[in-house]
Amino acid sequence: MHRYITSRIFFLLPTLWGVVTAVFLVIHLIPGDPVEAMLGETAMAAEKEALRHELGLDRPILAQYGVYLAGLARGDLGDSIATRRPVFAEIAARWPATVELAVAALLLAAITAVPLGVLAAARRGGALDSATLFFSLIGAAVPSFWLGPLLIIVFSIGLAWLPVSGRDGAASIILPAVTLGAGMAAILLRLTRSAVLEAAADDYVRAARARGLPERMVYLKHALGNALLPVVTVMGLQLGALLSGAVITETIFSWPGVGRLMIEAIEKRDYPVVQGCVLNIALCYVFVNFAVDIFYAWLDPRIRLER
Amino acid sequence: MKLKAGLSLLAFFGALAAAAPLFAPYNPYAQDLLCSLDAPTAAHPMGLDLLGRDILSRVIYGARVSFAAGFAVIAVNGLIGILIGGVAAVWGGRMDVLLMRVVDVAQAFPGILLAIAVMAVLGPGFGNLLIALCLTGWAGFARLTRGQLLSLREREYVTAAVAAGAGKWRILTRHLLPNAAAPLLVEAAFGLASVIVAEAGLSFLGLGVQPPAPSWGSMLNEGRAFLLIAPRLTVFPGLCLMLLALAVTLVGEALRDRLDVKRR
Repeated sequence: MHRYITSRIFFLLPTLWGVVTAVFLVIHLIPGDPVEAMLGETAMAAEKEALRHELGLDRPILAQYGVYLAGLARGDLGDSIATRRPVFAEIAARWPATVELAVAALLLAAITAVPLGVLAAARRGGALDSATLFFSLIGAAVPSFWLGPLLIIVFSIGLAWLPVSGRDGAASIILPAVTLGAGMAAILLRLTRSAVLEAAADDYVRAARARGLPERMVYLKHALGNALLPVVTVMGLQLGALLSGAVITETIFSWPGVGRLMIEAIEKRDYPVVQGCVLNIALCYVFVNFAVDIFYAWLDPRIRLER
Repeated sequence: MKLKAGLSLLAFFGALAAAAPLFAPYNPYAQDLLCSLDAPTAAHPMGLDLLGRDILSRVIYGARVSFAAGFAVIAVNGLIGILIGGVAAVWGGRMDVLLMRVVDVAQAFPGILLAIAVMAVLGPGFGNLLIALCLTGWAGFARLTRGQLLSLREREYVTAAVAAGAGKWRILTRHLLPNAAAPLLVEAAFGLASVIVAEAGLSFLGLGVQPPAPSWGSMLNEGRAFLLIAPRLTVFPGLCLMLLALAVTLVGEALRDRLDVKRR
């Protein structure tokens, strides 16, 4: 196991460096002048020069890169242009809301999709199976920026059951979590169904049946137990994807998370904050994937012995 | 069944996009401020938007933006990916390791995050949108091409071609690429669905196609302010977007099943 973790870290480090560098290149090397974008084309030359100096953009690109890496090592992402506060503090203040939303969406997806997937597999070809498959197709195709507004129209405006936006009380998380979790629920549902079907065809399931176990036990204990491995893995990988999906969901519902902060910063042309948010979300995604890798290897010895 | 449903839906939207001027009852840009947000009538089945433009006509023209962005991005991503994956597989050694590390980094960014960042720096617009969506989208094609080429070149017919004296180029174009085409086609179909949704997503955030151009994503963005009084601004463009994404996904799944492609 230790050897496996060491080898994964060996792969992780260059990826981390690559992500950090790619974000730097995107913000710094792409044609287009952030200073002009921030101040507008009509700004005075002296004004532009001052801001360029403040941001360190008048230094050679390699020096900027060095300052950026050194800052990162200290957890210093620079200061926000809009609020003058450290970017790190701005982002740290928003993380809890994003994590809360992502975890709620993940749990919601798991508690609806996994039982439905098992049921669909147990009644393969039945009405329930067709219905869940149909909804999972729709769920995978529906874009969050359409589902979110539709839910607002029905549940906030039409029925007046749930708040339109904001993060105030338990009820306010329901619509954002459904919006963010729907696509994932669709993926998990189909995956659970096919994994259970695959496991159900295996010998140990037939053996369980031969021992006279009731059908319910066969599915819940033997088939699901062995089908869970891929399901858990995909859940982990999807948690990372949820973080980027949160950018859109948070914007729809004015949910005060990192994604919303990033879009606000883009609107205000606050580049240090944009850079910090992209970096945070991307690094979080990389680490979650890394953790899933390790977890998977821990669950399934075949993986760690294979390489 | 899947293929039929998917292809018919796709053909429907394809026809709308290709012959938008024929189907659209009005000019999608023509404003009539006196009729701002008017409810649907026989003359305007989906009603009018804030600037008094015919929503049906804008939805029809919106199909053009989705198709144009989708096919352009997939074509570029496919070409870059096949090239890079091909070089990595054929060259091997350090070149392979280096290129695959770049692919790892490109795939380490979740979803459209990097595209959002690029659009923030480049500024909105259709051309910039294409650049942003091509920045990391090729990586999947590269990984797939490399994997395919590496496994295909162990096949007997390749050995036979080598024994028969065929050159590298001939083996690549006559034996390897045609046999790698099926999984690449499936990858392209699924990629097309996600690019279409990504374009609309960026436009929804105000970072993609700019008004007054009719993109379904920017129409959804405009509709957000009127969920209470004019929910139809949101309902129709979103419905079309979902149906188009569904159509492309169905075609992708049908292709995958027919061509017997195993996806990761």
